[in-house]
Amino acid sequence: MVARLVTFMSCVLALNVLQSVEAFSQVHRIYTAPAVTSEVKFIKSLRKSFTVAAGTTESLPASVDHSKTIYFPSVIDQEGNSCAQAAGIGYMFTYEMNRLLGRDASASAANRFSYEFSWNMLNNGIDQGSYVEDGLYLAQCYGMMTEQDYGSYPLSMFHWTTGYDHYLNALSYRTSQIVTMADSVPLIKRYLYDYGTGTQPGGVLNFTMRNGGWVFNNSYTGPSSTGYHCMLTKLGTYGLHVLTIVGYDDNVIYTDGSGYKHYGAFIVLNTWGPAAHDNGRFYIPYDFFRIPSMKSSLSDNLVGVGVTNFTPKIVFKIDLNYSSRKDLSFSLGGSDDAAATRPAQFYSSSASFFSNNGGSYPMQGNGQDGSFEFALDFSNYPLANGADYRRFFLNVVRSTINATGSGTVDDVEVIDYRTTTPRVYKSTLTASSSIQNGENIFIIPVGPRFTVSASPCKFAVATRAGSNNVFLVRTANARHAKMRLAYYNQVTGELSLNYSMLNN
Amino acid sequence: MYKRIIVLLSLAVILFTACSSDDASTPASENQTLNIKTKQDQWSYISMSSGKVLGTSALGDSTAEASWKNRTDWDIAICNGIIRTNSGTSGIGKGGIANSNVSYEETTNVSDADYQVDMDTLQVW
Repeated sequence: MVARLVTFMSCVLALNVLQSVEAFSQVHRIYTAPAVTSEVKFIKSLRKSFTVAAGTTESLPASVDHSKTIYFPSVIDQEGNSCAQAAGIGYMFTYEMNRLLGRDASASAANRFSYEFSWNMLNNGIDQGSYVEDGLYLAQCYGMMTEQDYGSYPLSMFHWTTGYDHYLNALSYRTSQIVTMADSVPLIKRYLYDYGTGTQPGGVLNFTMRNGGWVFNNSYTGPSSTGYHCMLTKLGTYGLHVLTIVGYDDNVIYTDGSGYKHYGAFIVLNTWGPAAHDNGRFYIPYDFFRIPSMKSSLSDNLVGVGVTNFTPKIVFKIDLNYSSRKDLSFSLGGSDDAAATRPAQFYSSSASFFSNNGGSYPMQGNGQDGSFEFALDFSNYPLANGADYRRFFLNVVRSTINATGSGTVDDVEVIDYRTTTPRVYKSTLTASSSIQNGENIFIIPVGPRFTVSASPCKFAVATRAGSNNVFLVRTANARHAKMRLAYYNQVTGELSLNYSMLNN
Repeated sequence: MYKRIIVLLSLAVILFTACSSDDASTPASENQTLNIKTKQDQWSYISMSSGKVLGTSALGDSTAEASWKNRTDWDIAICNGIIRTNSGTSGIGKGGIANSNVSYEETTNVSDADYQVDMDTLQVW
């Protein structure tokens, strides 16, 4: 009886295991390559090639594993076709930003970046793939939202979160440069160890490979310094998947079908949750990147990222309610003319990710609310003449072709963070304004930041030296002098004064 | 006793003479050049007699400005192209400023009446 019970229980357990394997393969489909649009080509053209700095001669250790550092998040189980964003933002951007700021990824959701945010800003409201560079470029032009600010939502919502503060926080976390390198084993190892600059710990890298038909040895027991038990033994031949190289191990040995031994392997982290491979990780032998016949299954280039912590200075706060977000595009401007009705130029770079994007859903997503509050950065558009803004402008353009939605702009503010206490400038809107076809321009007049004690005289800094920059000065002890601005560099702040004391 | 008073008075005259030598009777100085590095939204306080920046304060920092207002060792301050003189509402000194309508080389002195003192009314945008 006991024996029968044991046999029955064993069968139940085995069945459960089989079912979980089946469920696993159902969940993680084979992904198709995203379209290479002209925008993708442009973004890829911005990448900077990785080179090892001259004089970097330090020998490398036998192994490196950044996935065990405090900077790295726990294993991600991606939603839908989001592998590029899960690997690029969820892993790589999170690691690099925490490394820069010295933060612990596991300490708070505020220390992890939301791949769901970037994916839903890029997928056009469709469960489709993207490129790693797309998400990194979003972080370069706009910023990246944390998991704490974004939250977590079902894939089917294609959710855009609402709330100015969430977006304001996102503006701080930026890509400084997108790095690319050839699939050279020594180069990859050097980047992982010290970025080729002697700075440790080094970086992590994303790469693309075919995953349809790939084969693993899930019980690798050969030598290693890093202790994982899963090794990729056969590359896939179809599909496309983005993965993250988090380290390397020179001591791992892969023995191929001919009994030939291949030394060393990279440590790869997948985005299919901790149940996949060995807690999400597996080895991929170095030689898979070297053997020409295998290279067709692997991308020729790997992608890394440099990050920076940005302080926004001038930010638009926009509050609207609209039923079909793909109808709308946004651009920003400013003028030193207090009577201007539009700026000399509208800028759309930071706003482009919100423009004609996200599918035909309400602003917050499929089945969600149309109300939406967000932030657009205007810090990097100073006026060419060096003057301060007297008016800001928001242009909301409703498409004149195939627009299906309707709604209102409810409030627009510009918040100036250049002063210790931020100043808030309000738009001239007195009530919600229905969004019409074409341009909808909103004016935000600027009040003075300060009223200060000063002389009535001011250097005309834009014109440098000249008679309009010559003054007579009476000193604190009543001596007279003549003075002129001889040189001024507005970018560096370098200034040169000529002066000469006069007989009173 | 008289001798002592005369000696003291003589010393006092000499001392006052020395003190006043900083003022109007000082001969004109040669051209001087002062190179400084300024920052957006930061006042740089300059002593023209020493040719140095004595310190800085953030635009709008009223505490720092009150402190600078009570000093007489600075002559002008510069911030975002705005000029402050040690006069009026900016400082307790005897400063002031006047526009010159001619080139630096052609600029000559004007009377004290032509100098304007600072007022608390300049709006910074």
